Amino acid sequence: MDKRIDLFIAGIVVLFGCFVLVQSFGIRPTGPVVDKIGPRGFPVVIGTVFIVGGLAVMFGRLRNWSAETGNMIEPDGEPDEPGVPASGPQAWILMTLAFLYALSLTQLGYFIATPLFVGGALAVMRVRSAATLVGAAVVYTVITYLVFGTMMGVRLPLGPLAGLFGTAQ
Amino acid sequence: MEQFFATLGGGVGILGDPMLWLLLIPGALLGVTVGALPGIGATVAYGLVLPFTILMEPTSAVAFLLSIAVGNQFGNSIPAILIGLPGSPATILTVADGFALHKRGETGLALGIAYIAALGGQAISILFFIALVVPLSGLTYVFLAPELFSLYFIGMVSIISLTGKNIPKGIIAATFGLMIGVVGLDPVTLSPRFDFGIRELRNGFDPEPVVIGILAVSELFRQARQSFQWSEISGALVTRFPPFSAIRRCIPSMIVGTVTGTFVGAIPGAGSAPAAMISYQQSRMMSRHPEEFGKGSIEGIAANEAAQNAANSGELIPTLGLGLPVSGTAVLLLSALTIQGMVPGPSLTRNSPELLDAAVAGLLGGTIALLLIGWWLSKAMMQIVRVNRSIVIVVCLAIVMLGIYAMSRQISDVLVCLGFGVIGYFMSRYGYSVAAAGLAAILSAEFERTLRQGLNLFDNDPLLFFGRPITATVMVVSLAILVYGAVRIRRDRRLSGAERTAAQRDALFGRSE
Repeated sequence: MDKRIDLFIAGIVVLFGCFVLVQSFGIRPTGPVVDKIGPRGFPVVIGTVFIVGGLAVMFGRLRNWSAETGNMIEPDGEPDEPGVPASGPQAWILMTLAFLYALSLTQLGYFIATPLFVGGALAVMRVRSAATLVGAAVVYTVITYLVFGTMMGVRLPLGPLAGLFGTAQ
Repeated sequence: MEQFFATLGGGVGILGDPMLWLLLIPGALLGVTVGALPGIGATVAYGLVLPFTILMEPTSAVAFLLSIAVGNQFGNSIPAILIGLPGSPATILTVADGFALHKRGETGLALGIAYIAALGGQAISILFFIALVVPLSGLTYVFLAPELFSLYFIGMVSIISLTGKNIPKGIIAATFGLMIGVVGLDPVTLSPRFDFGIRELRNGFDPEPVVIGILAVSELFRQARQSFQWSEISGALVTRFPPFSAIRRCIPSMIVGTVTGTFVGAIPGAGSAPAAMISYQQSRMMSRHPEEFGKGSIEGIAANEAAQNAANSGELIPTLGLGLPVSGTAVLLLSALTIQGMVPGPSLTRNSPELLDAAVAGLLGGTIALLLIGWWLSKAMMQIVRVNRSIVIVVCLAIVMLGIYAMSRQISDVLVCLGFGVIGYFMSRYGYSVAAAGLAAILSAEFERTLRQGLNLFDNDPLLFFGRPITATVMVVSLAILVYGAVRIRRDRRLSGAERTAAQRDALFGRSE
């Protein structure tokens, strides 16, 4: 874990707490407030806990800053599998592809967007065999369509192929 | 006692119908299979099969849905043990112990203990369910808002104390979960909060996309950082059933899990996750080997799995006894009954006593079906580690997205799920407990409502609110758990510091032995 990023995230928590606190004071009750805490009480406490908690994490990190040599320190979170190279960008690209898939599902339709996503994501995950890429993408798309679309009756968006497959549902 | 045997006999009598088994066995099979898909839990499975229950008799529908729940709780532990992915929030601690055992090549031991504990917890909790469901309806007059608030509080504190290495980060994570629940209408005055004028945020976030995003999608994103095959880290798969000595060692943990699971599962909003966490904590305190917990403890797995399955029966106590659904799956169960023309409420089982018999039949039949096919099925599911890991991660991600879409038919829910998956990714990388955030997100609205309505009920006097015997006891225990967690983390840090120093010394001067 990079202690600089840990400190940065704690700073984000403090800023987020300030944002929540400011927004909380802008909450206007829509009717008569029947309880002492009111609709803004809980968010105010939440914002305060964010600020105090974030500052506590920052203080703890800064207190040990010089004692911990180098920027990489023992992780508080889930460590990567030891002995295997890890790549943050690989995960970020997969996240981006997942968002693109969700956003394009309605326009492209299930039969176009899904194999593109599965094939693309597998390529990002360093699957290099073309047969595996195409096979997995096609098999997944067909099976999930049969299970969700046909057996379970979920109306999956078909995009430009709606005319071709629309009657199948 | 007469009522106890009448309900048990009624349930066994329903099981005499061979046609019902045509629903119970596929139900348990579906439950295990869906549970084995990371991120897709009983709620999604219920949501998918709900339309089919219209074609069934109400008793058959209840039995079918409960057999899915029985299979699902065990199924959730399969990916937790085999690939380190929690099938549901309740299996997070199964990941800690089960995955550690799997990596040591003791997969059969982990799965076998999970299987036995799931069966034992489920079977015994059915008796608790029958014994408690009728008398519990009287508890409506005892369990008021302060007691409920304290129970939600202990659920969150337990998870903060147990799952993190840094208490302030755990508290921040739980607060983040509470913040997610604050978005939308205030539960008391219905004032809009944090919706920023966005129509989709007016009613707040649906809990399923948020929780699945924070817990399951974040884990998939984290796993996507590395490309390797499980067989490289798994070693040889040992599918041997655990020896009797291992099972005997786990019996106290199973009993703790079963009792805790039944009672905590019955608490509205609590469900199997806090039940599993609390019983894990209790089991750790009782164990002769507390140092193994989190590193491959079979007692930890037993407590966790027994509690999860027992929570199935526990959830049914208020759901059928009071008509008060206490979880997402319970809500869907009542939806199935509403489709059949029944009216949820305290008079539900008074008007339709056969529902209790059907519930017993579903739980018992599901357990028997699990006994017959569960071990074989879990061994079959072990083949998942021979599959290309990249394909499993991508397919799991795609199925989770499809499952979320199938629930609401809204792309926005998929985007919410992915958004929280990204946040959860950074949380888990930097030690902010995603489990605490997920649990708090589920409990947030009820946590706030019980506090505010409870204070209102007691003239806004905190002393009256927190001074009620059960509330005060639970709050004191919660604080003790928090202090225990802080002391444990401090001790572990000192220990790891000492280990580091020893390792540096060994590196410099060579091992002394």
